[in-house]
Amino acid sequence: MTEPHVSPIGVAAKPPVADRAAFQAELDRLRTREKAHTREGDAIAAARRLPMVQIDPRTPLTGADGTVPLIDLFAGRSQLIAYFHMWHPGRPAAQQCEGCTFSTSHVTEPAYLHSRDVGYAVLAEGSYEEASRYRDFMGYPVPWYAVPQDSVDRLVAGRHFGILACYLRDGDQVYETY
Amino acid sequence: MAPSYGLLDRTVYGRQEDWEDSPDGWPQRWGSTGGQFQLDGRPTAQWPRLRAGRDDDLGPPPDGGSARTCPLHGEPPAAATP
Repeated sequence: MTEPHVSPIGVAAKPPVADRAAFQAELDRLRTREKAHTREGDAIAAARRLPMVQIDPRTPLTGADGTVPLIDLFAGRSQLIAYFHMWHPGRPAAQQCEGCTFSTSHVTEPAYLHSRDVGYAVLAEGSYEEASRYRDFMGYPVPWYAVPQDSVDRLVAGRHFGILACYLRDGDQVYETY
Repeated sequence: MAPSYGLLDRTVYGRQEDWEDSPDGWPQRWGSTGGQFQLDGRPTAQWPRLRAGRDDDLGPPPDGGSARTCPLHGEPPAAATP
């Protein structure tokens, strides 16, 4: 195995040195913009009130136990977040999607989602066999499913893999909410 | 969904990407249109798995494999400049 090469930072330029008071004054100026950014993000989140689109709850997906309907991925919860992971069939792990790996490798603790009655699953393009080997290699803790070709249009709907979608379950019905 | 960037944004050199408004001499090895999540030819998060002895063999290629493109795939970053 070749060890990855990480560039040294030691030779890079550095910020000017300031005393604590001058540093704090600059930080306070930056804080004004940071707080405005936080407030705007909160305002968008507080107003993220969209209608929803009905999705066929029986849309088949392939998991560890074979084919299951989309509604089973909720595992009884009211909500589900699905990350649609790109896949390059037949290519080695090293050539799989760097962006999807970046995103997915950060999702390591679903307990806080579960506490809000929200589940999380990765829905991968391509075959379950390849995707599940990749999941095992990466040691991902969240459940993985493959999206059969006939299910892609129903879920991805003209978009592309690499998206995150949020769903709501109402009894035996499923809706996409984001 | 990926806190690494939020954390890097708080560090002195930020994401070290070439679009950032950085003074001369700041490290800006990385781009933002592909390659920034790779290290030496593979997704960066794979390296600790390999170091831990995990096998990255994905098995035989499936029938009908095709080379679909990924918008985040680009050329790997250029070698570090001194």
